[in-house]
Amino acid sequence: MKNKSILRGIHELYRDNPEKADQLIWGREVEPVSRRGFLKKSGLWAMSAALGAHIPFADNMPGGLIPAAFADTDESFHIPGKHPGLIVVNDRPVSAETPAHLLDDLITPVDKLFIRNNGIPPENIDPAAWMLRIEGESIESHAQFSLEELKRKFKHYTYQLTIECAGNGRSEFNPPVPEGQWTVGAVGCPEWTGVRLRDVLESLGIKDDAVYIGYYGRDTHISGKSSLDSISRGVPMSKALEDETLIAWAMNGADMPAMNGHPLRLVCGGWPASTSGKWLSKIVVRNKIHDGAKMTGLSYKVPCHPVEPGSNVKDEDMCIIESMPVKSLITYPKTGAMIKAGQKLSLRGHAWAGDLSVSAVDISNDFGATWQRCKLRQPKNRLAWQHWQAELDFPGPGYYEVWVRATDSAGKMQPMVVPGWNPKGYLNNACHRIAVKVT
Amino acid sequence: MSLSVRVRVMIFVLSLLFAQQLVSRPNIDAKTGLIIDQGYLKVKSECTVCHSAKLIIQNRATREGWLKTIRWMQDTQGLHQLTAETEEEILTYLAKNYPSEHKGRRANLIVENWYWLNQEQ
Ligand code: HEC
Repeated sequence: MKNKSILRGIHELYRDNPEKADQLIWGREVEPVSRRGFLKKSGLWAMSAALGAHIPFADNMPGGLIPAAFADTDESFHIPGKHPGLIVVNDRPVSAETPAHLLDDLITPVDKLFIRNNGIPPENIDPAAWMLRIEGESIESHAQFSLEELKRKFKHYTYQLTIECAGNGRSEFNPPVPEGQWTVGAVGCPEWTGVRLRDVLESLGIKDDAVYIGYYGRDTHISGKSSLDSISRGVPMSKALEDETLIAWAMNGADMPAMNGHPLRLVCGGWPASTSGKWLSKIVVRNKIHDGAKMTGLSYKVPCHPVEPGSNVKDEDMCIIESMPVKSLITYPKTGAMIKAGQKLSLRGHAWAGDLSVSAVDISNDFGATWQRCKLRQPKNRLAWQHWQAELDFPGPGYYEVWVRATDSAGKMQPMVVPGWNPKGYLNNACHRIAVKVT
Repeated sequence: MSLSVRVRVMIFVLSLLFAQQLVSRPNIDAKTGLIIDQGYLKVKSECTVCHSAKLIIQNRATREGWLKTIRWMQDTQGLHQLTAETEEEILTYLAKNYPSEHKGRRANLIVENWYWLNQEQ
């Protein structure tokens, strides 16, 4: 469940430390002597973008001043270019999720895509100077490409691809798992444009012994130690060489927001979003499973065989998560809806199933005793989420919960209770629920 | 016992419980959000260098669970060795103020706002 104590809005950030809030939220630093203005253009740009207007007297604006447009809203706004309704799960490094009702769009708008940062994002990004290096023991020739070269040399593709944090839903595990307490909204499905990872790797020659790719990004470790990477994960060659695995620069037809990886990222739809590396600067082709940061230990792994809740599991008994499991959301109506007795309730949402597709979606208003089949659309392309729709009757007044349950193309269904406990709290795909009152 | 006596006893017991609640409500450090208790200054100085205290506050674990997290940060995330005394103080603070709580297999839904739905169609 949503833990109240983790909700932290713009007001709280400004109350704690106004100048820090400026920096955290907008990347703003003031002119050091006057404590006014914006030292870097990016901070001004971010604040203007969020306000939807430019700030004519920006040079005079004192540091630590909450912009008036946000001063009297209680909505928790936080991050440049992001919707005010996003919930901040962590402010340093930044993580924020999208409440289910804000994920109603067929294609997730950029301002409603969740953020999961593992490190400190790079500053002063110059796309014209951005380079991507391709290296590793299992590529014939090493190379580096500028962003412009990537765009010029390889064919462009656009796919709608679902990315979901492997820890989405972690807050429900019992016993609790001490890490980011995501509820349901660390998922989204925008359209991504880029080149195929396969085309780039094949142009350089992939050796026969290639097993895995790994990525490196330009974000830095939160400890400030340059010897540590914040995250460097990857996928097996079979996933790397799929049509839909992209080196992407655009989201929904425009440059992607800084917090989502601008100017370049990997997108491996249907797999833990941690495989879709942001601020991408290097890809290595490996002759063994990539061993970068958060590929080892317990990170992004679940017990190979189910364990008793709270167990200690040895590293060697943990298996790397690959495809994400089948899952769905009710995006309309928002939980807490009240309707009059005799009214039908229209509902809709999305369903997705990792590498597979969704074959059916059902809803229940009697705690899973009976289920009603929903209308389900085909995905726009492979690895895109699918939209479902239904109309529900209620037998009389009272408190109801509407539950949604998807079935994947291999016949697996979402569980109604929280599935197998695991040491890091991944893969909770228990059916989504909303509360409805009929009066 | 007559009904009215029983009601009075109940009210007395409830008010005791309520007073207890008021007394035991923890003080919160305004800057970090940490509960102010023995050891919180150590946590503030040792544990909010790399990330905000939010990562701690939103979490619940047993003493063993907290120790595991600390060891993981020491092994892989550049957290330095703590003196035995500091580690003890931090663990005691965390296990007491952010203890593991039993949640069951699925909690009740919490609705922040009930609202009349104007259906679009
Ligand atoms: C040297 C830097 C550093 C210090 C100091 C530090 N941590 Fe961390 N901690 C990290 C990193 C890196 C993460 C992972 C953050 C992420 O994934 O977003 C982390 C994550 C966590 C988490 C979430 C667990 C997880 O698996 O992600 C908790 C809880 C936590 N730290 C508690 C503490 C406590 C308690 C202390 C003080 C003893 C502390 N930290 C000090 C670097 C540090």
